[in-house]
Amino acid sequence: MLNVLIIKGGESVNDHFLVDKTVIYEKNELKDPNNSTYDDKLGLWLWGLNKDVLVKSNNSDCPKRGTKKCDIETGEDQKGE
Amino acid sequence: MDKICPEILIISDRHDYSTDHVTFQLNEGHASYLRLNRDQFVNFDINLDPLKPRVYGNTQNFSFEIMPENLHSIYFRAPIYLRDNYQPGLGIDEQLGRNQWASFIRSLVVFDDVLWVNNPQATYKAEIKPYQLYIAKKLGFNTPKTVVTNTIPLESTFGKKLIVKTLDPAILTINNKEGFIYTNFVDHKDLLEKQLSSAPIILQEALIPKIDIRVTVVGDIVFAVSIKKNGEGLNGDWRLEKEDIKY
Repeated sequence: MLNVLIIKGGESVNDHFLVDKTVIYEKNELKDPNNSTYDDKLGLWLWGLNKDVLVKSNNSDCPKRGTKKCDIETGEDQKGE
Repeated sequence: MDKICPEILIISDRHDYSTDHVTFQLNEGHASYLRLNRDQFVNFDINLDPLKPRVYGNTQNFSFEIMPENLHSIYFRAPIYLRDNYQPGLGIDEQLGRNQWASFIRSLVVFDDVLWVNNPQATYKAEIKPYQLYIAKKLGFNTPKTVVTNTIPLESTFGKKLIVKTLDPAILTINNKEGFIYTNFVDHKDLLEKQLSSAPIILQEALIPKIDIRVTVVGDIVFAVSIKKNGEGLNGDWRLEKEDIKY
């Protein structure tokens, strides 16, 4: 998710048109979700003491992950890079 | 130590949470699967024998062996190539690792008799935007007038409003921040005075109004999702308004 949105002005008048249109945001460091552990064997993040499946938990305290709205926009196919 | 010889191999990343939905369903259905995350390779002992072919390895909790006799399909949730490999701040070891592990997962194409979703070779072609349009037109879709160019004609044959977008997704590093270039609506006359020669762009006829529809095809099943805000399509780049849209 974008943290900060700033529409950039070009650094010089000779910049390409698209440089002027670049949307700049703080680099998003990939952090593990709070209070969660990743189970290698299941291939799933588990949350909380009860080890709920993170992306299926209805608990309001559970971090929201795994929806298109949570995607980091890095192109067609970066997938977590 | 348990050993997994999967029928379904998933190549992903621990932080690609969309994959969790898939592994959850596979687990519920007692499927034989293995999720290998690229960001964990460094913690595993892992070997690829391209001649047999076979991948085998050990994690802290289990071992695995991927072999054509068992393997039915590969779900490939990974980039075909890294667009930001040489970003500032990456150590030499990390640069080398990212580069070589990316090549390692591409090497899984040695499993050429299984169902790939999607085969990296197919994805490589599918990510080429002019090729997407070429194929769409060939299949009979209505397609907007398009040119890949680094110049603007004095008279527009595409109308007054134009779409300008990158030929390939562009991730830029700018003063320790990151930048992404979305699709832009522009007046033709405003483009005439802009510098375009240093990089090609996609210049396209603007379709207004429009509704974006994202389509996923799995075999013969088509999943189509429209993207709307307040019940209507968005004329701009919907990815800039993610918080307000409905799928």
